[in-house]
Amino acid sequence: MNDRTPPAGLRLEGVTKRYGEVVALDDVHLDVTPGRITALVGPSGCGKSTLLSVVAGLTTPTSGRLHLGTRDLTEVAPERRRIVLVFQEQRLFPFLTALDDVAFGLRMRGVDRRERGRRAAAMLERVGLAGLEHRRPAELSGGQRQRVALARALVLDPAVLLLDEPLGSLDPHLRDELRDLVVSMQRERELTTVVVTHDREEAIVFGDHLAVLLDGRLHQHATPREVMERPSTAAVARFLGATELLPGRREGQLVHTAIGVLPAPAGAADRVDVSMAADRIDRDGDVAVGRDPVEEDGDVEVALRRDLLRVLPPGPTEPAASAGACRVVGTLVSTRYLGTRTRATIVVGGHELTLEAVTAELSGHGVGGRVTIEVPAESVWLVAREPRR
Amino acid sequence: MSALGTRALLPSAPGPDGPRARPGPAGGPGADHPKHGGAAADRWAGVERRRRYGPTLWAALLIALLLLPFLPLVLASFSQAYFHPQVVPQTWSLRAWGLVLGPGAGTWAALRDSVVVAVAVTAVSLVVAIPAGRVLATRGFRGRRAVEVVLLLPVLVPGIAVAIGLHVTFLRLGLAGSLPGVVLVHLVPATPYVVLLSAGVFANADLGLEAQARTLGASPWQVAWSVTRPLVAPGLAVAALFGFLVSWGQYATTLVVGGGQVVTLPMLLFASAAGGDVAVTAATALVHGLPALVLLVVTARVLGRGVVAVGGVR
Amino acid sequence: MGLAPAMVVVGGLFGGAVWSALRSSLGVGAVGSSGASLAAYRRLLADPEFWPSVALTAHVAVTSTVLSVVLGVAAALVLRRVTVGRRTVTTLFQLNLPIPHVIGAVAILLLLGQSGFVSRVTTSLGWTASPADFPALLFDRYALGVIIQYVWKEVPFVGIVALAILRDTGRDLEAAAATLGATTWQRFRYVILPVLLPGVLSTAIIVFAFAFGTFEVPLLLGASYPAVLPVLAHQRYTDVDLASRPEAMALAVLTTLIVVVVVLAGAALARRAVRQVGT
Repeated sequence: MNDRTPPAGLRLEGVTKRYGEVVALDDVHLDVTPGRITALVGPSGCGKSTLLSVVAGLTTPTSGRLHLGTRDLTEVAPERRRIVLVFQEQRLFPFLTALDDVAFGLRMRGVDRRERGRRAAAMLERVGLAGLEHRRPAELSGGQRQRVALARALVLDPAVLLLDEPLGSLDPHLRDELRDLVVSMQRERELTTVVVTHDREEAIVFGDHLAVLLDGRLHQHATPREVMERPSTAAVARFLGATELLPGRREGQLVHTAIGVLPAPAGAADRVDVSMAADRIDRDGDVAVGRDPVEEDGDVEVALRRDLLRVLPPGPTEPAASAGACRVVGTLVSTRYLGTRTRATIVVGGHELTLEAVTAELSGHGVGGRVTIEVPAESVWLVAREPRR
Repeated sequence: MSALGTRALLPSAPGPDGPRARPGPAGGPGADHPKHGGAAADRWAGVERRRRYGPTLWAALLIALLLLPFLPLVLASFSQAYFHPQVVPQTWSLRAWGLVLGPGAGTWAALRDSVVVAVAVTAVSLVVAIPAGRVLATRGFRGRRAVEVVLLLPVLVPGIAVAIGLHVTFLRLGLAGSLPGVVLVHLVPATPYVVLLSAGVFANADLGLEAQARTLGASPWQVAWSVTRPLVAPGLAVAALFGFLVSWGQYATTLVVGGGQVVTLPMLLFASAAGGDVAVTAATALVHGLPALVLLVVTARVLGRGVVAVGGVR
Repeated sequence: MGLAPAMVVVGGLFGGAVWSALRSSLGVGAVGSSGASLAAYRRLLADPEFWPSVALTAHVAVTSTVLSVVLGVAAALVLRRVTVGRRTVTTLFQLNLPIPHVIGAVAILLLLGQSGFVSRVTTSLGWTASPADFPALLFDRYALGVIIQYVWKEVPFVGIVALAILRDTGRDLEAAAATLGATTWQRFRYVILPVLLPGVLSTAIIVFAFAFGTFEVPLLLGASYPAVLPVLAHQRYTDVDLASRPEAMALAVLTTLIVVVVVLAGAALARRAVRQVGT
């Protein structure tokens, strides 16, 4: 275990999976960085579990190749891949105790009984299940089962660890604990890891890198920070919570839209961290290309993050809070109290804009009145105009 | 019996931990794609990754073997002369069918008695099984295991032993040689089936909906009719079907308790097989078998799912 | 309680049957008897036909069970690989489940008798010259015909049970085992078998009980001597010599006892086997 080979990277080349008419995975190119955690995120039904299944060898892709380091895995049987998939519903063997379950893979490799018992017990202890060695799955809680599933994967020292919604079946208070456990185990071993989740927040906290899969296509693969700040497509922006999407035209540091002139976000190149820059996807696909079309003047799609829009108090206009922010004026149509925030629908230039403003800021405004919205540069996402829209 | 449990002993009874208790196609790579009809097939695809015809061919061979015994039955029933080396009859004829379905053969009377007995058995079984199944499915209580054993043993103990034991008493009560007597002896193997299957039905039904309906203003009777009935009716239909089939196939119990005076189809068929015209025997066998087959297939179709695994109808 | 009617019906009838068989077997209530005696049991154990009958019945039950289980599981392993026409295949596979045993016996008679369908085919092919050339599969001392009928009837039963288990949990666990490095054979040995075992063993116990109680099938397909226990019981019961009745009752009690013991012991053994195969 000590003199391990450096972790190998996993590469998907044009992986496509069709089920009859339905395309579950559409020409996915993905370089999974060795020794890091890649969070594969997307709404349910986007194909992420199919992708895991393809990597594990349980599903054969319709086309495309899969490489681990220099080895082509596409035709390799699942049991020879040294890639372990931890299923969302754990799939512990009902007839085995926790100890035997963790030792299962070692037993398959012919490790003798005493040795595998020793290693399995050590691993169970490592995941915090000491004392529960002789329990069967039915006698374990959901969190404990998830730990057994994790332990039986890790004890094999896999080349790649795949986790399908590892926190999905847990109570919220157990999630942080288990996530920390997964991350610390991964760091210890520098395991190449892919975590599938439908939860944006979880993906951001989990992943060194984020791969956004929408409708079977990989839209963006970058650091969580870059994805959050510069979604590459309108679909990603929408997935990340943008509600307003407007056509616009970029001219220098400004974007012209139907609701007014908005600030264009500063070039992001300086914010991309160095490790990621080398890892930028550079494929000939029409999404997630290295060259960024929105850096140049031209037609773009403008997405607004409604959590960052500010409503200015009525009365004399105060100076701009942040440099480069723009202001637009509209009519307040309706409000809905949400506690510290209030959801406001404002019509600007014929467009309905929904935003969540701090309740106090909105308190001076009445429905039907005119309000001024401050649009800071961070709240504006520019994405390439979608071809078919 | 404790660990296996009686439910495990009758795998036919879908228990609370039975197949249908699983909430649909949860989890797995397939779960991500509810829209793919074929996702389940792809869920584990270690070997059968694509549509392959090989397994279907093997299965077809197997099925051919299983259905082969029916072939001579059909051929013989339509034969006029059917002597040894002929694989198919030399001359075809409806003679046997004419005899079997004509007056004098007693087929219609036997069919009537079989139906009367089986329907009565099914009805009584269902009436006692519905409350019992519900209790077994929804309540844990002491002695539950004993109850399950009591229900299971009559299914497993040889029918002839039960029949001989009951016959002595029935002679005294005047039930021997009567339809009611035969119905009673059929209840011994049939009712447990229906009870255990009903228990499975209630265990799998979401009875919480009853409480929901009450809060929405339904009276207990309205709940029973509009909520519980649609929830359990399909499952109970299957349970009833198997009660019917158990009675339909009874030979030893009918022979002893009926004492030759109650002639159901199996009695008629056996008498014919023991020394009769082969063509007539074959036709009688088909008359006896077809209703069972049709009932099974129709029930499966109407309920839109396979009536599976309740097979051990002796 | 809701259970009461069912318990009255089943418990009453079944309990009544066992009780009255037990009483009669002990000679209680018979004309001219003075209290209980084990005379009928003693006569039975001394009867030259009794032990051969026990042996034959056990042979029929055990052989039918083993063959049905092995072939049924094998059938399930084939059927679960079926992707093309799966529904049809599954439906056709269970067609003979509702077929009564009398029909099964008649069908086997017409199929495998010395002048039956298969014999006609072999003669037409020139493999056999006459019915006498065809092997005597029926009415033989090994009760082959009876066993064949039971296997024919119970293979789909075992198969469907096994198939349900395999489809339910088998696939999921097999996939998990594969990613943990289990090869095809290892998945069969360490996942499929342990998963199948509890259900299949329970089914085996049921098949055993059914075959042990076989009555009409050996009457149609078996040799006349020795008779299986249920047939023997019926012969004694209908004997013109009414003195044989207590023996018939003793036989009824004994077969009941044997089945109960085998079922309970089988379930206990199954429990142990399940534990051992698992680990």
